[in-house]
Amino acid sequence: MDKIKDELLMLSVKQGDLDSMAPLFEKYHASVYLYYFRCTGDEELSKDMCQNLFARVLKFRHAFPEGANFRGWLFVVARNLKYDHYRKNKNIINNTIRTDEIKDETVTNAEEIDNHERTQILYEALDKLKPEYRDILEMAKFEGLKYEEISKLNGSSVGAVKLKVHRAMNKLREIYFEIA
Amino acid sequence: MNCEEIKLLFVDFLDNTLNDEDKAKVERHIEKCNSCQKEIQDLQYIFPEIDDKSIEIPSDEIRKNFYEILENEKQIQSQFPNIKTKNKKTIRFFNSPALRIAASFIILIVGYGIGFYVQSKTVETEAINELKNHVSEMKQFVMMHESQKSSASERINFVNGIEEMPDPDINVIRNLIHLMNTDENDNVRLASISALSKFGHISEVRDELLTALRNQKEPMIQIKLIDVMVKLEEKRALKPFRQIINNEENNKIVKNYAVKGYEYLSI
Repeated sequence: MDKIKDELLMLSVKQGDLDSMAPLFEKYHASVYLYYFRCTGDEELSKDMCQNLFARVLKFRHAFPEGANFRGWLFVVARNLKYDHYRKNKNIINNTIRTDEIKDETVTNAEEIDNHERTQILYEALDKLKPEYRDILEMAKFEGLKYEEISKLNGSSVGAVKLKVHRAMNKLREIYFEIA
Repeated sequence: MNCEEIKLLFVDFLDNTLNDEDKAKVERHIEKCNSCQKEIQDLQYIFPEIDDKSIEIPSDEIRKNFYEILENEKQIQSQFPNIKTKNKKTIRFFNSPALRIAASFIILIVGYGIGFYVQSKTVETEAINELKNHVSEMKQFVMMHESQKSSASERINFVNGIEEMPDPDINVIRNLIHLMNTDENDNVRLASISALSKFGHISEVRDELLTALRNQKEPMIQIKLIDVMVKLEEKRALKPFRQIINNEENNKIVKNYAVKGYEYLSI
């Protein structure tokens, strides 16, 4: 019944009662932040993206479909935002390092550059995966969902989910080292 | 365990969620097997280990900014309270009698043209259609069997499958109606309503959706049904909408939906 409550709150937001967004924010902002942190390993960026996501949900509240699952919808918007960010910043990340990230002198610049490069290659490789592989990896590795939860969402068995995650990882590995 | 079986444990191994026994199996295997060892190392490189427990979530900062964004959005909303008024005018415009008559003429002419074209093609397509029907019947038989399955996700798969069929048999549709009215799982009932809304041209489906609107008490289901009635422009829903609005037991959000639906259908 917990799930149903989320959906009703979002429908209420859609109808114009924007304060209904507050309990949804309180419930989901930590998982969203963790999601972005697992993808990027960057605190500032994860914080910005988390805020941008809730701003986007508020702005595009009318796009929430009646009968949709709120958590599922939220993470689809979260993924799109991440890929948008990656595409927009592809060249910037390639050529420069963000100055605000070199402020901590205890961390070597080489390590920072390495992290950025790896994140960038990971995005690029994920972007090249076929959608069904990308979605399942997003759920298993970044959204932190358990196999049982994915199997319920996808309507397949736990064994089938495991096999698919494994295949998706292998394909990603192949693409990743082609780019790197 | 061979390589293929061991590899299925890699994801859990990397996430550190394997039990001790399986973990030892993987470790023993990769000591001896170079290709699996390489695969594990590659994956560790691609997905560096992140310990969720050690991550501090900057909730206060995110929260402060979120509430600023929320206030901002509320101000924008109060400045432009009803963007949808425009839509109503558009609907009224398209409802004008002159336009309706003009549209009827266009449909008549286009229909005549299509009829002429289809007739000339009939002989060629008859055999293909027969084959298509045969395949479709078989698919429907398999799907009917699927709907009896016990897990909710399997039943949702069945429902989604019907949605994609261009012209399903009436018995398949009745199966869908049965699920909408009796399934214990809210998500199966919601999916059935979505699928049924695609077949709103069948009068039996419309009647059943109307009956469901009167009987269903779960807020999400009620909202979905109101939405479907509005999209199908089903004027008979006005009475149940009024009943929903006047019934004090109904959820506030459901009532708001019914009010908006009522306004829309009574234009």
